[in-house]
Amino acid sequence: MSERRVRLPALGGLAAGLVVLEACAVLVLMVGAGRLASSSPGPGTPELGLGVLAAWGALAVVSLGVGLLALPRIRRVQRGTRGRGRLQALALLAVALSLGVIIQGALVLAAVYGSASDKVPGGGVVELLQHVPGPLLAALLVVSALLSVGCLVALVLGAASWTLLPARWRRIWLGGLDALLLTAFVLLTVLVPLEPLGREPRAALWPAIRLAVMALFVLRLSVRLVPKLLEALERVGPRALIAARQLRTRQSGFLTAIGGLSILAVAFSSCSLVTTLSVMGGFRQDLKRKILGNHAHVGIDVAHGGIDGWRAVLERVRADPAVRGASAYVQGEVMLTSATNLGGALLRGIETRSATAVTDLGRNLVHGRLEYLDDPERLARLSPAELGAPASLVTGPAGRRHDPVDADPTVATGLVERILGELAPDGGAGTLGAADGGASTPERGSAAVVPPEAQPADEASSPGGPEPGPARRVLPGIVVGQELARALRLYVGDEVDVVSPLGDLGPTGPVPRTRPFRVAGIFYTGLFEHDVKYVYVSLPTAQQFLQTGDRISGIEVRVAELERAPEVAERLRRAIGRPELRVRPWQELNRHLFGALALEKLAMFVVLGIAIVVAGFCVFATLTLLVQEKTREVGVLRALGARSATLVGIFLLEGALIGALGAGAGLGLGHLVCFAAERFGVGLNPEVYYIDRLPVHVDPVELLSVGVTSALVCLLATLYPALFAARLDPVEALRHR
Amino acid sequence: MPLLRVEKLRKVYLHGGKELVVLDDIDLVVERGEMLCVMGPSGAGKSTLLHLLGTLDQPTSGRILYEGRDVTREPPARLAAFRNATVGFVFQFHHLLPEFDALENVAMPGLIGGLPRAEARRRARALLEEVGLGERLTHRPSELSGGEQQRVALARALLMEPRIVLADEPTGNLDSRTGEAVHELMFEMNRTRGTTFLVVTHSRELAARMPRVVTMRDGRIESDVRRAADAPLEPRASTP
Repeated sequence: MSERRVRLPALGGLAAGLVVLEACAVLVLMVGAGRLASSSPGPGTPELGLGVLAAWGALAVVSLGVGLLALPRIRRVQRGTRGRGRLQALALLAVALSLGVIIQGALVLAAVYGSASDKVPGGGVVELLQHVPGPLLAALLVVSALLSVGCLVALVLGAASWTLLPARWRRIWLGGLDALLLTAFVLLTVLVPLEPLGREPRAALWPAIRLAVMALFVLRLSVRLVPKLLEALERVGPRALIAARQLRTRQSGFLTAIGGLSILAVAFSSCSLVTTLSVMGGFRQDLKRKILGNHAHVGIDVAHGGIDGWRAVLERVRADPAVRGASAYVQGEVMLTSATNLGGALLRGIETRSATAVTDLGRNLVHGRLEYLDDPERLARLSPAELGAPASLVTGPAGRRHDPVDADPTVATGLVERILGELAPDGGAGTLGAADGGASTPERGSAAVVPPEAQPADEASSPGGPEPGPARRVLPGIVVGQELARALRLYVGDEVDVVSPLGDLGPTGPVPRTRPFRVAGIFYTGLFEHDVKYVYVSLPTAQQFLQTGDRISGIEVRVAELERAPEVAERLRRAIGRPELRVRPWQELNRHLFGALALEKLAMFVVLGIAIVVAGFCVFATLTLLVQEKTREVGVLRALGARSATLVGIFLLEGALIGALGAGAGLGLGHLVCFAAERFGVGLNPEVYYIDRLPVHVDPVELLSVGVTSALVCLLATLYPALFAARLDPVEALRHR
Repeated sequence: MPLLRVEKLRKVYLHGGKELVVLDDIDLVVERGEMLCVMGPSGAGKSTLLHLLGTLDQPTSGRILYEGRDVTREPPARLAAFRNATVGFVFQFHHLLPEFDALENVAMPGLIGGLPRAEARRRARALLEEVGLGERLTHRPSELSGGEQQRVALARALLMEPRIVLADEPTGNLDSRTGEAVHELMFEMNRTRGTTFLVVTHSRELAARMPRVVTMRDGRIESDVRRAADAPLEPRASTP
């Protein structure tokens, strides 16, 4: 047998060469096909297509040469030699494929230069193909189909021929491949950034390639490192020595297969667990960020009615060093009616200046400005550029990012400050002064409908307005959410009527109170509930409209450190010293939501943990078979003086190693998936999920706990086989087989 | 005090509800440095006796005293240590560990017994050279011939410098010439190291050279013949 195989090494080398060539051809074919399919008429595309074609043709010529060289040599090998048939088929296939590639290339070139030579520089490949005559196109399609099927067969054949290669050749090939991989890895690491440069898919191509190469590199590295690691482990002690050696040495084929399968099972189950938990964690974080961005970290309110003497409370709250900002608000249920539609809403009167320090409202505005709330005159004479931006065109945070002013809260706050200063020379009066002291808004206190056209435009009192537009009647501003704006078809500058159910007593009973407002801004938080429900006006306006007098509904507090909000809340409760006030941290305010999220995550952990348990069964079966196969050796080790504890240790260690390998691979894979999803983004339909890409958040603690769980499950699965091995009767074991 | 004293050793297996007496009141005394072989037809209880002496199995009754220490009453962990330090085994099918090369196989008892790795390997190398396998250190058992495998097994049995080597048909699987070489090696080890050898065998050639031959039949000792080491061979054994 060994003499018959003498000539195979050289042929094996040829076969390996063919495999690589065919693999390259398939890859190039795929890329070329993808290009052809996706290419749109544009500059550069035909050149690229022709380049692909040329590379493909060169590969085909080389492949043809190698195949023709190999065929006669293979024929000289004695019939019946292992692998002769495979090699012959491979060489024949390579020749056929190469011929096919060359024919196809020739057809394409003939078509391109035959019928549309004048169009080549300008048009896309698709356009070129449209000029190809019908029969030629059909031939092209048939050849392409045959080629892709043939390439797949060649890949399978090539993989089957790999075992024919002598070990030395295989090492050389692998070494070459690894060197190539290393070079590619280093080059890409140096040259290509990991972050995609733009948002379009084309920008993500090179970073994706870099990530793929990186993953392959790490994979090869670990494949190379595992034997070294086991070797190092062998030096630890007899137990580790025997365990590692038994794992390293090739067992019977079946055991190798199920050993590999159990490692894969552990890897995939832990990978899916990590990925799922990370995505759920991403959703939770996204939700948390949005909720905490728009609501208080600590909320102070009362169960019923309003808060009197709130300024003192606010002072005390602001005195706490952990408090970043605090702002009072009035809240009430209202209804908004526009010309076309109506919708219920929660009206919130806010202190415009301090509110920006407490919530992200200022940052979340996609249109308009928050300061218009305190400055109705400016709102009444907005320039046409600021008016009429259709809210329906804004679909996501992308629009928000481009807003130069609202991107930075300090800028926005500074602007508010400056404009307020200009408007109200007495300054200290703040929002009240600005809203109530405005000379041009008489009758504000009456909460009655401002008669249309009754107010002459006041030209004098708007020094800051850039290019004032045509003056309209001055109405208090209101900021609405994007979803509500879309439902009511509201744009910045539009008028909207706000109806309060707590009406005045009319001659025929209670009449709902109505008052017109002008849309001063539209915000987008990413929380549908929030965007459809909340509308904001200035605090005094709301107090007048809702007839709360000087009372407020509550105080919103933002703290420096999120996780310490409960402590701060406790401290504030003591500092305020008013037992009727409820001081609640965000954890308590949103307890049900976050509780549900945590429960969901736990359920997911349990459900996917079952997958790990199933993988544990796999490990169990592997170890049981291993013990079965090693029974006699167990007897020998007993005779040599190994204790039962040593034997238990050996098999436990083997199970732990399988678990560790599987968990390591799984965590690596999961991390890779999450990393890729985080960087390149999995698109989501924002209409459904209200998020434009899949949020992913990898929690190291979770990663660790998944790894520990997997390893633990594997260890548990190993326990019984290990104990079984230790309890084997040595005499029986020695007689085994 | 003799190295090994066996008193009224009895081993009974329960088989299908019936008692099967494998060893029936065996009494045996082995002195230090002695070399004896146990013969007898199959099923006479030779191997069972060997396993009991090697503490791999527990007797139904009776005592086994190694230098006065009764090993039939000891807990398993101490017995393991005892086997490691005091007893060396050579089996018919050599029973080398297939994943390890010759050197590692020989060093294994040392590693199990807690010798430093370097010391175990040093001793193993010396022993392998002694049994004539200095060139085969890194060969796996599957790459060694039957005689070489058995020599590796012998070296392994001797690594911890045990008081006694228990060999169960060590040459039963070898052709006569190779077996002869292994026999020679055992005699040499007995001479140079003073290790006691108790060999279960069917080989009349080996028995003929042994200074003491114990014959068993049906679980009893039938005869126990000693002779001086330089005494002429028995006429029956000398004829081929």
